[in-house]
Amino acid sequence: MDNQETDSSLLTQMRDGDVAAFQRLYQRHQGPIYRYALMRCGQAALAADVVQDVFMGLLSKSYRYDAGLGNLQNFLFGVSRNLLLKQDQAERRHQPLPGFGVEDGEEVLMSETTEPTDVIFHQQMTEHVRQAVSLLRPHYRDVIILYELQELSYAEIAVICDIDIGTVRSRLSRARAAILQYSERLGWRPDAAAKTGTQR
Amino acid sequence: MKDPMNTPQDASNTDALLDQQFSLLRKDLQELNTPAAIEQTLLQAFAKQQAKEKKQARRRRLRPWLAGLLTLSGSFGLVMLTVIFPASQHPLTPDSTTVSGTELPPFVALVPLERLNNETPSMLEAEVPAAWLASLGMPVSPEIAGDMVQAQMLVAADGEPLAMRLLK
Repeated sequence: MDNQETDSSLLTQMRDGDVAAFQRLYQRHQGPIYRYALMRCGQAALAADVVQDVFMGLLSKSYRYDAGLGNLQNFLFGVSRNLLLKQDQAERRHQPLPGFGVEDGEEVLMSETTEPTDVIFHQQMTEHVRQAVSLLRPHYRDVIILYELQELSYAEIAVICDIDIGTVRSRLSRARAAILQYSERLGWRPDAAAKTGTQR
Repeated sequence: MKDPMNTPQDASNTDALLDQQFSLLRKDLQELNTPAAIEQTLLQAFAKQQAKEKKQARRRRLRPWLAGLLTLSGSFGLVMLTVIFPASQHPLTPDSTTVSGTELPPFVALVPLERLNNETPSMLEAEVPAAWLASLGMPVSPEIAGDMVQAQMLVAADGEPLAMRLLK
């Protein structure tokens, strides 16, 4: 709450032309937004573009952010998600994803022949999990990134993704099951990963 | 923030291990940040926008002054024009409502207008009998029917009267 108030006052100062206030806002929020975008699209350059577009919108006052309706960071996650959805739509024109948007009986993982993403981590197991996440269909990927990696609550994710809490829960459950299945299929057993993790 | 009660009910041992994997991924992710070039680009955009907003604000501040100045100079110009080129050189007197020498009555056409336009008439001024004017269709009061009146006539080259006006 304190953070939210500070964000609001920083926004006001920024709108009054205080560059330091803008820098503080940027420093505070660029990391989570970048990491979300990176995990979501798998491409460092595109994730950087998303961060730039998000903050450019904040600068140009083109967003209608209402501090009473939620904190700034979740609002910025929502903006990033919308930008990434537009990107998905552009890509879908070239590579259709059969069954997109159908929850029941839908494949949670996309085709493994989809466009390869950048190698982000040098730790093999971390990279394996990231790759498994990158193969989830976008609406499952959103939920798992926001819950597991950004540590947001179901309620926050529901607002960001504009879905109900029940859908957040079911998507999360299916996404985790799909990641496990995929990891086992490729021999990236979670127990092996955990051992690797503890050795580090 | 993440609520432990929200953890899926059917959390198994494998799930716990997957949680550990996510924890590792989360830790590694923390080291990643937006490239510094993006902040520079945004700061430049911020400076540019501020300059633009300041310019707009200055323009907004100057607008009422400019409008006032224009109105004032316009009014001053009108006053000066009125002083230099007065609308009428004649002083306004109680008699000024009467018809002056320059305010003559209009000519009354005695022939069709097309013909009047085609002719190059010359103007004559003469004293003529009022009865003659009446015979040409001019409005003449019966009281002066026997008098001589002064009239101006536009006449064709052959002397035919084309238009006429009564002076007295």
